[in-house]
Amino acid sequence: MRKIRAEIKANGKTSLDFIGFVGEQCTEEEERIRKAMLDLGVMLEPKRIKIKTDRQIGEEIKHSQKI
Amino acid sequence: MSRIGWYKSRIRIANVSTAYPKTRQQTMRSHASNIEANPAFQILKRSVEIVAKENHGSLTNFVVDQYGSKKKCRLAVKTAKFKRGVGISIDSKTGKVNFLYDSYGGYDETAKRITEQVTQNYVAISLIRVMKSMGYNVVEQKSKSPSSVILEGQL
Repeated sequence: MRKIRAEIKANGKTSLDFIGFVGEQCTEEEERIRKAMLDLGVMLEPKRIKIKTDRQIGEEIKHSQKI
Repeated sequence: MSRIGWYKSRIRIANVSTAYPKTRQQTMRSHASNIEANPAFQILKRSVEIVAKENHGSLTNFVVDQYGSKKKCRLAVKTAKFKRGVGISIDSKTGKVNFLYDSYGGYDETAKRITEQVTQNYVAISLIRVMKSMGYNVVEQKSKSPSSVILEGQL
């Protein structure tokens, strides 16, 4: 199951956590979201990107299978 | 490959009329009438309405300074704690959203909080719309921090 968890802080700073995406899927999905957000007037300017480790991805998949 | 990204948000209400080059006067008139039909402006209005409701306030179209002088603006919200109000103006050339208020007399934090709430609501409403349009089932989650909004979208 693919999931996006977004946190929007009071100052507008936003984080997008892509969970359960395989390969380049999350990069493509992130680009689609940023483009669609721009169409609605929100420019999401990347500040930091953290690539998840294989272990983190494995745990996420295991967790989503339990659910 | 999954990842986490952190982003800074900037809001701009696109000037619809710039897509069709016109004389300066026509562009200005067109901008004034078009902007309210712009989906981005509708989101901005909704964001301000939510702030007004949450702070026991109301939506107006002017702010007042410390001397009681009124200044008209496109949208404004006055709350129980800040009756002078926080106004919103949109730069007709760039679409940049500017907040307008007189915080003299110790209202800095109160006014700033209102501007932050408007921005936060705007980003949250936009993100909900975007994720839904991409087929996600979006729910709002309870946040550990009272000042954060957490959204979870599932495919």
